[in-house]
Amino acid sequence: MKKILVIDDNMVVRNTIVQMLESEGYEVVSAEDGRRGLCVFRAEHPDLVVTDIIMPEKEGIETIRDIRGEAPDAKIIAISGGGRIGNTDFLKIARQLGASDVVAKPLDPDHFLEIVKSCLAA
Amino acid sequence: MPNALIRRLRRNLAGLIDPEINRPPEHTRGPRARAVSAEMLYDRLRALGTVGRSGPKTGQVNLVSIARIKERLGSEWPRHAVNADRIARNAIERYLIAGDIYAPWKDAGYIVVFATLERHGAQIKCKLIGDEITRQLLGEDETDLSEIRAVEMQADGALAFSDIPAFEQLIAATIADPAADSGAARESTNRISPLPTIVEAETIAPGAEVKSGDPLAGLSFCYRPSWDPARGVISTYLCVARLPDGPGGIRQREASLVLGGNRAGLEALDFAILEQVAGLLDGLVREKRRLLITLPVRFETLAAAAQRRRYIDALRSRLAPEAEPLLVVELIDVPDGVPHARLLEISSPLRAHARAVIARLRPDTTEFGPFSASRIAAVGCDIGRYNNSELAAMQQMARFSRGAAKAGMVTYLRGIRSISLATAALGAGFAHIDGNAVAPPIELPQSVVAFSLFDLYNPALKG
Repeated sequence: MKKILVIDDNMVVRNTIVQMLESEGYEVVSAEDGRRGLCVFRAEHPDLVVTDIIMPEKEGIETIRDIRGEAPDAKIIAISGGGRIGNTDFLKIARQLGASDVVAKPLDPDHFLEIVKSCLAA
Repeated sequence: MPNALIRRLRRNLAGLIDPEINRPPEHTRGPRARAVSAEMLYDRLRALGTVGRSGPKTGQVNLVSIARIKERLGSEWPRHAVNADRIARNAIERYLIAGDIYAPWKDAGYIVVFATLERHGAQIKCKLIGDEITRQLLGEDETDLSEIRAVEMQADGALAFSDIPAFEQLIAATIADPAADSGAARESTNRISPLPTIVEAETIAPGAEVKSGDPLAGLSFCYRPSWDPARGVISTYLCVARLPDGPGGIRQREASLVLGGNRAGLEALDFAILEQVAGLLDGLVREKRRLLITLPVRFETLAAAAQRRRYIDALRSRLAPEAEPLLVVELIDVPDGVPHARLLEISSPLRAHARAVIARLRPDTTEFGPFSASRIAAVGCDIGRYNNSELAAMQQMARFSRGAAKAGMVTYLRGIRSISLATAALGAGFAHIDGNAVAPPIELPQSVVAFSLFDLYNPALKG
């Protein structure tokens, strides 16, 4: 069974994603910010990480960079709802700084699960 | 390093030890010692004939290393490095005379070349420079963490470093055998008191430790860029005054926080910042640079009519008309619930001399109507002043931004201490966020004025 780590500071969003993934048969672990997420990553060695960008303590792009530093082959999906800044945005930066794929919030469950599957299969 | 001995020597060995004693008045001095490039340093070393031999002049070139201070500060070092360099250079320059030169060596050292002093005198002086740097950086009670090495240029041009004798041995050698070190001997004849004076010195009040009573002693300035992420540019530079906080000069904090409830000090500070910003604007006008500078002034300083007039008069007299479009005045520490009429009364005369007036409010402000009605161009808050958790700070930021947006106001955020707070601020919709402190903007190349979201993740820009 594939294991997925979900990192999001918003409990409602986090639980929704966890339930969505569990209903598809994945084993899911979760954390509420990047700092804790990194600890869980080290302990659980998940097959995929799904991380929000805007979070306290350690935000998503820093988390992605740290995970990449420790596990260059890690599969990571970045999700974000806000922070569109001029011609660029956080998801674009997340992609350029190490995310395997990015998904904008609000999540379309079918689209999100499709991306999860293709990321795990890659 | 025997601290007590060196401190006593500092007070008693007159001119050689204390650079301010026997120093000619400023107006009669020749050109001061200066920092030079590595190339010029090498040229001087070649000219001194230190290549490949241990001649009598080799000891006049020494390395003053502050690597152990860097070690002591550990991960804090990158934040303090610029300030440490300024303090070290000031200390070195205070001790050198015209003809002496020095050059930075790697990231925590300075090679000092004396024009006239010979080995022991030069090494004593370097030891005192190192001790002074330590005291200024870490405080009076700190053990001297500097290290002095004699420098020699080898035949292949490489520099070789060797240990120097202990401080007591240097002093003893200088006094016991002046002929062996003629330069130092000359100095000792003129300036060094014999050792017995040192023994009695404990009763002598150390002049350097007398507090000046000036609340702004040690005031320095830096500039904090405010980034407009939508346009990818730095929109303004906020002048930030800093004062030493606690022992040593390296630990500095925002001056208004250090001054606390010292009302006279805070008022003097507002005028000192005005003076600093006016000087910078003069330079920008001269250089035809179109940068915006933000001048912070406390609401309290402008509250009383007489004081406000004095401030506006200072603004009028110090600022050239061409500088006014480059100035943004930021009202800070604005109390809660200030009525619209009062805001107008205070902001209108400022607006006459500035491009815009903005207001820094408490992060929990919910009423923005009076600011919008008073033609305040933007409202912001300083999230760094409150010891909240990041989650609490983020929630507060979101509320502030929503409230200001309802009143149609542009928002800015200061005091960001982490990347996560920066991204949260942008996500919350703040139009401008603070970056890391920089040198006076007039010294920056034009390219620095641009900024991108990627810069947040550039390790070189971490504060």
